[in-house]
Amino acid sequence: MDPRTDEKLVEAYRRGETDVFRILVERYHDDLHRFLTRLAGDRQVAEDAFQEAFLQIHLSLGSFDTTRRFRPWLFTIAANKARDLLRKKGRRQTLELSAPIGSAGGSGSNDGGSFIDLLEIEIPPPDAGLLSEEEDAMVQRALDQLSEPLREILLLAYFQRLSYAQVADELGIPLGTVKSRLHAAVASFAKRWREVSTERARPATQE
Amino acid sequence: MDEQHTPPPTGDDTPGTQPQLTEADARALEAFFDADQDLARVPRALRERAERAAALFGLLEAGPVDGRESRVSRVLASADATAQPALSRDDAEALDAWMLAGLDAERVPASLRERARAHNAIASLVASPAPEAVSQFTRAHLIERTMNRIAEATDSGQVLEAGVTIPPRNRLADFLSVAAVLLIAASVLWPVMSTVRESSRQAACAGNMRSVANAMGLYTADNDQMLPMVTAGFGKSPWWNVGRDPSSSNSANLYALAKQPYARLADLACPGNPRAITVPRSPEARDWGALDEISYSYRVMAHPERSLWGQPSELVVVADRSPVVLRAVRGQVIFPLESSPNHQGQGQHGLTADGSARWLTTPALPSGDNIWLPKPIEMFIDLAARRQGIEPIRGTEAPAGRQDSFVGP
Repeated sequence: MDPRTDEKLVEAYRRGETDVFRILVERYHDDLHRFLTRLAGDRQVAEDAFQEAFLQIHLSLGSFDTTRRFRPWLFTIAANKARDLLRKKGRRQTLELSAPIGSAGGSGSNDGGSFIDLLEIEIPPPDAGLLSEEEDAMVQRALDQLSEPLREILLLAYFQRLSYAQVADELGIPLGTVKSRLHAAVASFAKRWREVSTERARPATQE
Repeated sequence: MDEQHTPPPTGDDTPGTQPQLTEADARALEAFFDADQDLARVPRALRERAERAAALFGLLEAGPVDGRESRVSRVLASADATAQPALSRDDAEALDAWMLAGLDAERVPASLRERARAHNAIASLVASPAPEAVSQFTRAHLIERTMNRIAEATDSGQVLEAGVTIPPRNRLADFLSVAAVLLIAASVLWPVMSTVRESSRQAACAGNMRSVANAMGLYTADNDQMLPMVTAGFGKSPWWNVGRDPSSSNSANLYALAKQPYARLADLACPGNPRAITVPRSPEARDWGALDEISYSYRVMAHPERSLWGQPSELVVVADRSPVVLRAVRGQVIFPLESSPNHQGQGQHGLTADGSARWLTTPALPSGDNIWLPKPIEMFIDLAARRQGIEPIRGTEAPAGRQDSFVGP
């Protein structure tokens, strides 16, 4: 493991130490690959976006301000690449309109525009260890049902681990927008999660 | 967060799937569009709601949209299939506090901590590592592809921005890193594959030995118990002049089996010899064309031998080709205990005069007799002591008697 920070590696790269680029790619492989798979819901798109993102990083390193942090920059670029690729594939915002929603059509007990109380939703505790394959697929299903901007802000907030102000700065959108979008994203995700968990609990009742 | 949502439409021409805005939100958005999507021009009472709705639907960054139809469709497309759920007031506050605390629930004020932990749990759920760790191979593969893309971009002259100097990449290093991955795979697979291939060669070769034994039986029965011999002895000439002079080549004696024909030439071709031929070079051919084409060494027939075949005996009559002859012909130092090149030096088949074929892991028989050498030479050299190489034989040697196994070339 190279002990240097990302930003120091970027500086070294700009001085001509080309080998360090591989260190950055290796360092971020697991996290970025995971982020992109979650965002795109498609492994091929995720891998393509991964390569495109690092290519873009490589081409733009000259203009990178090393007083800023590398990680959020990388994730923002990667998210943009994934969005472009999904758009090319014609997958943009088709999922949520066709997704089966339990309360659609007014037949459910709660109206569509419900308030979410997180304490009433069962979420595996963070120290429960690795997700099972089934839980993992459930998370993906819940995410896939969010609209694209909501899914993106949710994943960026969780993976970049930045404050509102930093996210706003990175995405170049107003602070208020970040805040309201993230609120909506968390609420939407929690709702979808509740739905997919309930589906799992009674899988044979669909007739 | 006190707005009331109207229930989704039921039973009209857009059944169930059409998103529905609250009246207040719809009014606010309408005002936003009427103000040409300029928030400052939205009536103050509606501004907050318009901002939130517009932000939610990504309208603030997307730029103006023309036409009411496309506005509406964009709004509807952006909304979830049902009206947007919202966080409870407490959850919303906890989310803000948790974000402010750098996503650390324990640093959130106690009154909100429990809910902040719920946010933390959701984040862990969404951002947790994959249940099955990405395999090292897949990982290495994606990293290599990424590095290759970058290398291609560098080579194709895609210019870096603002004064970055990148020296030419080290192509050799790139190549080696890929080669290393391949080599590791190959080093794992190669012994397995080559063992599989070699054992199938040995099986085919053992089948040849049975065919030759058959042919020998037929030949000796037809020829007054004489072993195959078409030459008239070799005198002082070497018996390894294969392809040059059939009268001075011991392999011509073995070739007689295919000539008559008691065996097919293919039965005399070991799959372990890449130069072996399976069909005669011409109908007139009386011998193989060259030493390389020979797969099996035959008892050196210095003179006719009767009644050897079919007797209980350990005498080796035919064997996988001799490495000693191959070296001696080239004037190289020989190694008497070396095994045949047909089977990668692991051993050789030996067809004994009793008609049985066996696998010999060393050319030295249990009796001490070495099948590559005649007795007198064996006696002169202390095989055990001088494995490191001795003077080559000259190709004029002959078996020292009916008990001496000596095959060639």
